[in-house]
Amino acid sequence: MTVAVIRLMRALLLSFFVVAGALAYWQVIQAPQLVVRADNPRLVQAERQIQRGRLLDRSGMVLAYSAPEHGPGNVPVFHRHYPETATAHLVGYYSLRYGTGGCEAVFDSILRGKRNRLEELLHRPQRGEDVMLSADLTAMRIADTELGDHIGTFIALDIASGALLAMVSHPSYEPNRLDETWEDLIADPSAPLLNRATQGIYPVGDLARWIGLAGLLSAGITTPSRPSEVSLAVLLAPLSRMGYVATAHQLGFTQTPPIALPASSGRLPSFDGRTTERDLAVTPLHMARFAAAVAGDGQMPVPVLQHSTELAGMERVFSENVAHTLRALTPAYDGIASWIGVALPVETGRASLTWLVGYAPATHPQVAFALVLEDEENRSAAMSIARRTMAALLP
Amino acid sequence: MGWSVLVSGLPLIFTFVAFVQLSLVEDAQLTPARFMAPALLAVCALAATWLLQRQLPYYDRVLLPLITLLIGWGLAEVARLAPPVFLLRQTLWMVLGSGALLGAALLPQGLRWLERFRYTWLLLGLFLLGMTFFLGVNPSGAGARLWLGAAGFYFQPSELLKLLMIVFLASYLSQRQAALVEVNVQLHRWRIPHPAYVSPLLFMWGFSIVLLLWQRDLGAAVLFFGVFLAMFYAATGQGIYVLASCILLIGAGAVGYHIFDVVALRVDAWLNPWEEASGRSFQIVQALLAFASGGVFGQGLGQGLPGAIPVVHTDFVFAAVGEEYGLIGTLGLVVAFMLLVSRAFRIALSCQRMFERLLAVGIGALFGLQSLVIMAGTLKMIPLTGVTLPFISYGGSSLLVSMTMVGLLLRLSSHAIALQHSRGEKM
Repeated sequence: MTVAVIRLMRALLLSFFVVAGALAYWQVIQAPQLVVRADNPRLVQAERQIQRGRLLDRSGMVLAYSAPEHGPGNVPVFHRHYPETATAHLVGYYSLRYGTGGCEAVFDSILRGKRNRLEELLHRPQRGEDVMLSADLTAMRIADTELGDHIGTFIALDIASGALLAMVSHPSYEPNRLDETWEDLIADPSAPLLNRATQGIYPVGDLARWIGLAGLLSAGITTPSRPSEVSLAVLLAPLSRMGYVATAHQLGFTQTPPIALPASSGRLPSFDGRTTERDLAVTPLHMARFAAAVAGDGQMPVPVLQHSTELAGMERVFSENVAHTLRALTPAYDGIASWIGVALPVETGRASLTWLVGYAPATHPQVAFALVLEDEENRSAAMSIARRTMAALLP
Repeated sequence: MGWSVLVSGLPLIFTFVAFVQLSLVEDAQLTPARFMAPALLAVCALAATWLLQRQLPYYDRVLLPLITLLIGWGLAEVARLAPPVFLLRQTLWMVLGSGALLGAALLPQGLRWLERFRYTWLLLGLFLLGMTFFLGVNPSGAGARLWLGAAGFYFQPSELLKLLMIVFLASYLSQRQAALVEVNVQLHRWRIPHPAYVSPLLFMWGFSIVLLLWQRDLGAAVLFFGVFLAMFYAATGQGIYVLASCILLIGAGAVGYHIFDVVALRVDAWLNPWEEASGRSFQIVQALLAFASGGVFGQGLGQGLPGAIPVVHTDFVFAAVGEEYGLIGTLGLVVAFMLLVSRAFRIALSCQRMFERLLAVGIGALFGLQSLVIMAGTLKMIPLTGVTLPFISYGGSSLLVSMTMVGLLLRLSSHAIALQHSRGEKM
């Protein structure tokens, strides 16, 4: 009997050793693979405990902030708030379910902050830093109000620094209710989540004239003294299609603009008989940079999202003389020099759209802008939106 | 004396530190009201130590500090994982349990009564269990109705039945041991114990198992089965029955898989939890994630997210320990239970009388099997069966009965050593 009791005890104790082995397996060997599983609620919890930095506009107005909510224990969890709806596409969103977008994604690592090993071990709260954007909230509010129910977009760049001053895209979305409305937003045919300023590709239409002029002048070909009075075909005749395409390359239209936000490259026309120079399609950001180059003596600025005093990266796209001539040809009205035109998207066969691209003040240019109104030919609305918004951007 | 004070004090210090930590994490300050539970534990532990030292001079000096550690840890986990009223209830059960422990250890005729009225005890236990068919409730509102409730207190008869079954088996087997081993009948090629001796045993045991299965108390049924086998093996020394029974158990499991949904669910969740990680296997997957997130050092008490596991404060408390105390904590618990089991078996080996020896074996085997079943269950080593982790999980009946069993062990330890001493003096 003693033997049986001792055997029984040994069997039980041995089983405990097996349990200890299983503990080591799950807590040490398998742990790294397990903790990163998407269904680990600790990931979300850890994310919610991060006090994300704020996003501010160029004058310190708050565009996004994290406010504490009562969490389990006295460890606060944070909720992201967006006081301004006008900045939805620029600021983007931060969602535990759908990730990040806009500047929330671009500056994610700064906003989240970092903890070192010791701070992690001590469960110190993770706190990110604020990011000051180059954008001007006042101008964006006005652009947002002025765009109103129009489908379209407005973008403005500082010519000298490349600072992105305003960027509004309509239709927009409510970033504070993103999780609840996501499914609808995704399904909406008007694509409210699309940032039309950098991702919307629109045919240049009448503005092909200005691209062609830039090409003609750069190539040293004599242009009519009053180019607005000749037809586009006649104007562009000396510049072969090859020359037009080369100009589009030169102006960066065939590349994705150097910006950290999601952006599209332009699209060259196929010249297959149905498409012409008018069907070169670019984003409003491409056009705003073109206008900035014209206003800035041929120097095309690299767009900057973050407010800084550093000089922008510049890229020479044509000579000072070309810029000078183009400026002389650009009509000015109310201190705003601009090119206006309509385009008819071939592929979609939709209604025409209105472009307004320019810079202001006309005499000493500081801000370049581009505006598109989709599905409508409405020059006066475009002019009025640009005029009111530019008034807020200029001193 | 100095050494024993230190050993009694360490578990209390551990418990106090845990409550200080909880208070700091959850309230950001020390809240005096939080310390009622550890203070009562200290009073009970010190009072029990003092009384035992006076009344039972040779009692086992390891058991009491050991279960103080486990109970203190358990109270801290209940405070961490369950609403405040649960901690209050568990603390009151702990006070009751201390009384039961001292009663079991000190009542002069205790062991004799247990041995003599074995059928009475067992039938009492079965009667209480049978009552749950008519009056049973579930304190959480839904699920198996395994409790008898009165005045806000709920008692689970199957917990008491565990102890009464051990007493019955120890008493029966000690009386019939010789007959069970020596009187055999020939059945084909095998010699098996005579039905006249083995059938009352099988009948009582089988009746209990059927009752438990009827109540869907799978965990308790598994433990009854295991403890019965362990005690039968200890009494007769015949391993063939253990082997045969294990094969039977697997067979029964296969049948249960097809008959009982709950069995099928547990087995499926065990075989491949990852396929239905958000569905039927949610609990076990979350438990494994808790273990994994604890790593070696743990997140620290109050700083993990064990609440993600459903019913973490009872069946899955081990996973909560794994998350917040890490591998160090879980291995510490494993060692503590190994120590508990080995002390019980040491006491068994030092006992001279068969009844006492089998009683200690039964208690040791129950503690061992119960902790192994739930630890291995939460670690996905075996299909999960819902039993408490002794002393740690929330559950008053379990705590009360476990403490009573430790009281019996304490008595047996003193008894055996006192006998040895008196003999040594005579020689």
